[in-house]
Amino acid sequence: MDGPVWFHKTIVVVVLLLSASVVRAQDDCTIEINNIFDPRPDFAQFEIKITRESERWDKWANGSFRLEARDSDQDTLVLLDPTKHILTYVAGSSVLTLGPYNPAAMNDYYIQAQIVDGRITVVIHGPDSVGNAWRALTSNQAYLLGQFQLRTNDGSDMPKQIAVSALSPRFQANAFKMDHDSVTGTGTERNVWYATHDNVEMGTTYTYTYAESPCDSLQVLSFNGVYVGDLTVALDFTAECELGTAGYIIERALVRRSEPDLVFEGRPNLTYVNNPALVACATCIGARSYVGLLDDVQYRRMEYAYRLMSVKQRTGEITIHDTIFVRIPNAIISNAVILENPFSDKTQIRFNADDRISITGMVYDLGGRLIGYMTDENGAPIIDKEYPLGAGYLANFSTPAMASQGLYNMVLVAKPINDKTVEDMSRVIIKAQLIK
Amino acid sequence: MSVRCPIHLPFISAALIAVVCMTTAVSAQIPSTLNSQGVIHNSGTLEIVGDAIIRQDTIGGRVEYTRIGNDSQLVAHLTYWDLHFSGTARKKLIDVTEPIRARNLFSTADTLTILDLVAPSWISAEFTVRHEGIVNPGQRFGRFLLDGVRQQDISGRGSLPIIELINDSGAIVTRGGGLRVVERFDLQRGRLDNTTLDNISMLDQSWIWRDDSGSIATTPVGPRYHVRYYGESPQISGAEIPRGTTELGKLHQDNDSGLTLSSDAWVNDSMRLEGDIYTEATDSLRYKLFYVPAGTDPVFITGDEEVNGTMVRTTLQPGRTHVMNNRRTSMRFANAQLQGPVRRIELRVKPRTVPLPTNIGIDKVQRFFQVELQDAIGVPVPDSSYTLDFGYAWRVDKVDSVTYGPFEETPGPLRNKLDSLALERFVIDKYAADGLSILPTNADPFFRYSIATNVRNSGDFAIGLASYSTVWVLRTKLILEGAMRQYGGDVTPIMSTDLVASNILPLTPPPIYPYNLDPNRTTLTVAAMPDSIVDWIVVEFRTSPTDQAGHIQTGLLTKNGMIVDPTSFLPLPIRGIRPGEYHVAFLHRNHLAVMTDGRELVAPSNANRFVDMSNGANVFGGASAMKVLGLVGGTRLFGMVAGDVDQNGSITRTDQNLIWTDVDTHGIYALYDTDLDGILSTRDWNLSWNNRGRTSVVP
Repeated sequence: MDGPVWFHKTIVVVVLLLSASVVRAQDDCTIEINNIFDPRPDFAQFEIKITRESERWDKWANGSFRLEARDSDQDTLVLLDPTKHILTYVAGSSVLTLGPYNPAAMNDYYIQAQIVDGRITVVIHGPDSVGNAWRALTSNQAYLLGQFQLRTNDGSDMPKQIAVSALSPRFQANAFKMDHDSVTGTGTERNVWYATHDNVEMGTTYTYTYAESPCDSLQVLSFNGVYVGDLTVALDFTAECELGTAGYIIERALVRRSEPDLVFEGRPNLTYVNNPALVACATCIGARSYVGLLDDVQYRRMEYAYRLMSVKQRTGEITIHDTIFVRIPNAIISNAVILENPFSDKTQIRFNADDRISITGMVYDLGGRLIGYMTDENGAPIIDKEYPLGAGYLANFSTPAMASQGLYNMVLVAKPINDKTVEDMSRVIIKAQLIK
Repeated sequence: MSVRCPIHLPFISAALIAVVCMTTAVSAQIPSTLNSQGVIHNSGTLEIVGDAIIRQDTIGGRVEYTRIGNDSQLVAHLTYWDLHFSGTARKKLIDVTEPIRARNLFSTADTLTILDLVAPSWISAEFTVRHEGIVNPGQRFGRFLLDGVRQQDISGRGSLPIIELINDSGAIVTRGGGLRVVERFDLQRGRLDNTTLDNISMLDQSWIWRDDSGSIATTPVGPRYHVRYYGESPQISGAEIPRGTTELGKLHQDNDSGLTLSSDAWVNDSMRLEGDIYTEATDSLRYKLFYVPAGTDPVFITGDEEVNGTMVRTTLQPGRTHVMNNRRTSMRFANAQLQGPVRRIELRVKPRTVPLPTNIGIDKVQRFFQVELQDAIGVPVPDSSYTLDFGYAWRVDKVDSVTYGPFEETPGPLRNKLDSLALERFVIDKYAADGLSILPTNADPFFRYSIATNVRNSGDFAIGLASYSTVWVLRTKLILEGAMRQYGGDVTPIMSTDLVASNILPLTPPPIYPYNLDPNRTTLTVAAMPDSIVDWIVVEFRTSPTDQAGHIQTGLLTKNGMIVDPTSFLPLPIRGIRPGEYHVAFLHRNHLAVMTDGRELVAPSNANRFVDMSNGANVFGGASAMKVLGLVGGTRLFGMVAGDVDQNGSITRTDQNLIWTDVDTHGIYALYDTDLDGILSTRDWNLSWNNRGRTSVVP
């Protein structure tokens, strides 16, 4: 069979029938190379599993596995550099009983994982005696020979695809342990092919799978902006699948009707470079919310556009995700409405404060005489009382005893706290009919 | 419209003149100048009687230079459509900055039409040529180029000093031909299509030059002309070589990619080689190169050129050394008496060829000589009727050859004896020294050479060493475990050749055990390893099982178990051994050694003996000294036991540990590679492990 065929994000199976052994060639075993998804860009992980496919063996002897890293996008071989790429066995991951290499005699298994000539070699030395050999109890079950981790020591990207080497099949080896003497014939035709404890190369099928990333690319689920008063806009957004994302940048543009093209500008506090709250979680897959992002604006009665962008970790690639618009109001009373009119002994005015304002609530008769002040929810007269941006405020008025039936002017005078665009104040005058 | 134009044209800036010349006196030719600084648009015929100075690059229509008289007429150098010359006034073509080009027709009227062309300039005809005149009479310079893109039609009986054909579509000679070439016809590109009826004439001592892209269809007419080959691609001679014996004067072979003769060639004046000449296109298509001159020898410019094939010298002078096929190969008769009836020497030299018969010639230098001494008409003269000094030579270094690439003619073991190699002649069934070779031999940068005096016989000659002769040929079958990939039942006894496929099998046996036992190890070099080779292997001949001072030779093990000679790739010839009975031991770098149980008769009389080491019989120590690898048609196939990488004759834990230390490497010729695939893995470890405790019984 020629070299492997590659498909991105597709399980790929390479079949290499190797090592015809005693008497007949057959498939005794499957070796799986499974890539394990590791969200860290400078890490890759894979595991080697073995499945017994025949009844001819159950004690595993040893094996040599030559693998190679491939570029995910180009599907090309990436030669690894042992001074830069570090290959380690993940301790405790193997079903084998491991021990040190003992030149005198081996009672356990020993795993040697190295990068040689740009490729990965995992060689597993087995015990001398079949009595110490690991037994694949069940056929058609994949047992983990070992999990391995690759990383770069300079933080650079690690190729994510680890595959069976496309080199000669002779680079792979996989042997079982003879638990009896293999003998054919009798008398003068008696042949001993293998003795107990011998290691016999197996016919092996090699497969490998690429681990798919659980998500494709960064998704911004929501992006919101709201004016919170005092010339401040509060922004928030939610994103998921932030793999490889360094952070976010929010830029702002003043919307001018005369200039259809928005001219966005960076905001010093709205970039991940300056604001830790905008640093992405480069290894996170699930949704994460970014809130409490405040921006000071300059102008009222104007609309501001905000656009959210993300920056890739390795490449610096910038992606624009969404643009929203936020209108900045004047600091005035709005939507004032009397709730009971005509009224007899009391009435209420409900109003909104479009920004932080100082309000005085008064009631005049038609002759212009001050009858009284409206009171707040605590019964205190509303005289230069500061109301933050909000809606549904109530100003109460209780009819004084001396007030006679007739029309009255209920006046709310609002003075802006920090709105220089409103020169003096805003007023609400509501005529109310007192009936006695 | 015909316009006669003996007029002066003043400077006309950007003038467009449909017809610039009006008819003037037809009968009276008034010397005047056509001086045009503007542009003449001519679609008819422009007849120029006086001198012409025309500034424009190109002019259309037909232009005729027709001045008559004993004076001259200046010709403007530019590109014409049709250009015609007539009249007796000599036409002066003297502008050295521009050639004259005729895009459609170049014609001259008759032999009274004479063109004087200065040496740096040339005439270029791109289509039809009708030349009856003479260019540069009495001179040998003056280039006339046939350099169009369509096949050109050339005719006329005029003469031209130099014609150059530079037209991939070639040129055809028509109208009875007759064009005369004074100095040379240079066939650079394209074919000159001439016939015996429509031919060209090569004047005496003229040349035909032939580049590797040019050719001529028919041998031209000429009393004696010379031929020169040049170019960069291999050439095959053609019709430019006269079939007669007297027409070819000089032969210059300046193409270092080589020239192959397609006919006999008779060189009458001289010969110069800057590249090889092959006289044999194939072994059955042989021609001869006859060299007639008496007082001159062929000249080999750089010294490594050769006539590969047969050369005949037809004029011999007593006392003179006659250089033959190369600078160092010669024939000489000391005096007329010793020359006897010999009048011709025919010598066939085949470089890099095993002398015939090959089973005997394999011990010789790979250069074959066939000599025939003849009388004046080519009939062989009797042996011993002459006494000859035979200068013999062969290549000693890996000189690059166009035909063979770098090669060495001296077989490995003879390379230690270069000073002692003598001329030998094949007599009945073997080569024996012939004449008295003057030793030690000499060397120049290309050849090792000497002279054998007192040669008195024609025949097949070789260069060799009498003591270096084949005593026995080892025919054997030997299988290596590991290289034999199949095990068990019905197997095919073919071993792997992965080491060659991976290009890691050394071309010379490496200086490790057991190859370092062979004193001739360093002389064994394979130029290109055949793809059927498994590995190097050492054969040792012992008078007794414990005799470890026996004769040793190194051979190459093939995939089917043969051991072959590294030079000839034939079954290993055993040389330099006293004929007798020997145990034959086989030693490999990481397999347990094996030896024949009985002694083999190593002598020519035992020629057909087959030593089968794959059946477990006749193995010293019994069949258990080897390993059963499988069954071939129900019969056990035995192989040498793999895994002894520390080469101590026993397979122990040490061997396996050594393999483990390098278990990740590949692409090297490693001792630890027990399955000989060039890749170290647990496979190699397992081969050694499965043979744990086994020991070679060979002392």
